[in-house]
Amino acid sequence: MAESISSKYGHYHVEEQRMEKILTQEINEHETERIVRNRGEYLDWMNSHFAYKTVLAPEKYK
Amino acid sequence: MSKQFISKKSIYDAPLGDDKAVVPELRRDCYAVFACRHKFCRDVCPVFIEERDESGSSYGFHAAILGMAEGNGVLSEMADTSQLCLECGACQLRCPNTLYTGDFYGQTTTTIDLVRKIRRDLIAQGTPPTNWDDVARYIAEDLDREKNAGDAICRWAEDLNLPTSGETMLFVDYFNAFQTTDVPRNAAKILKHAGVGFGTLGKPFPTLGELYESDQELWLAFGKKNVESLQAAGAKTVIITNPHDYVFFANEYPKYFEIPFEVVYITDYIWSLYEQGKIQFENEVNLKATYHDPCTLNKQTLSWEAPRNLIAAISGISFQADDHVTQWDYCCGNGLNSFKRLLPDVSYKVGLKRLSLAEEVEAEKLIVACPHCLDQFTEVQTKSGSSIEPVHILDLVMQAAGID
Repeated sequence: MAESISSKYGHYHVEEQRMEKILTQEINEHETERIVRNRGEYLDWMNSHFAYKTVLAPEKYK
Repeated sequence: MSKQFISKKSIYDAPLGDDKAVVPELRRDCYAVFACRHKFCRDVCPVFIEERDESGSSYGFHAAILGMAEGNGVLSEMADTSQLCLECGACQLRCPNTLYTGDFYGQTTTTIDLVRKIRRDLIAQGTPPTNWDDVARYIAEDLDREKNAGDAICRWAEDLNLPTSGETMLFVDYFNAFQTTDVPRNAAKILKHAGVGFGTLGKPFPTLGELYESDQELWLAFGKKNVESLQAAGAKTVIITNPHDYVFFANEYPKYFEIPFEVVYITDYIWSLYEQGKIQFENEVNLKATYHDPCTLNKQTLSWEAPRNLIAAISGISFQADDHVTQWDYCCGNGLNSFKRLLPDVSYKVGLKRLSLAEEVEAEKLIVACPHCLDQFTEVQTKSGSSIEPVHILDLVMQAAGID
């Protein structure tokens, strides 16, 4: 469990020193935004193509 | 400043070879893809869809290098499998390591870079990808043009009276300048019609990606010369007419040197002109069409909206196209760099599959925004006798705006 929350370019991010097994790479802000946007688009696409309803979290978790 | 999508793994700098050990960092990196086993990369790969050969998937390439690290193979055994990649980017985009966790862990799957590296290292040790001779001849042609073509490089613009300097520069690569000359001509005419003052380089240098796969140093040297020439010409904005070059200016060159001007793809630029009211579409263009997203715009640079906006703005076009996410696993079959020359039969099959998808929506024409897609689909249509005719989006803009 991380003791603190770290973010980079406005998104949650694992601190590089914690990446011991797999090395991090050089990723700039636009590339990060591209990944985040592609993820949103892909999830929207999945919902619009394959989901017949959206299951919401129970009230107690909101 | 324009968007630059930089994602670079320095661990790729260490060369692979039959007599070289795979560095531990690269082994671990490849293990991250091998350990996934969802194989979403396989299912979106246009080559896998045709050939059902898993060794050409992102999983296959990473697993092969992991195998080499474990002593179960050597690089030269990849001479055949290294052919099996279009470098379209579908696998690295769809990889869960990128799509779901890439921004979080700061580590993504970069299969295009890896395949370039494999091909480059194979060539360096004298065991090039099978059929590389055809690619080498193609590269030699462009290098010869750089030395000997002289004014022929600008013949596409000979009656357009374009200056060789300006704050806005239209960059035209050798493929457009020699093979699809209508594309830069139409681009120039549209910009003139909209009242944009712009110039074009008197002598651009080669940008072909095939050279990037064989001689990175020379390819970067030419890239630097292009950037320096554009800067010396006074460029603040550079409009690109070939999306392969757009990827190089937006994703590849910035990994190695600074780009001191804004880089815009032609469809994005024309759409901004339309939004500013500098160009109007007064003519109807009556046709039933669908649209093919170039891999380089859709999968690599997030530039899929402008072509669709332009098509929607032209009245008369009956338009039905798959959305851009569905098109992540489509490709014209040309590939970003060497694929068409390495595996021409598979290239044809991938292209034919895309034309057949256009036939399914009963389109008459397949609109494209890339000169390589145009070239590839024209060839596939001629060979196959398909009823689908490719048309470049700039042709439609010309008709709609009433430009001769």
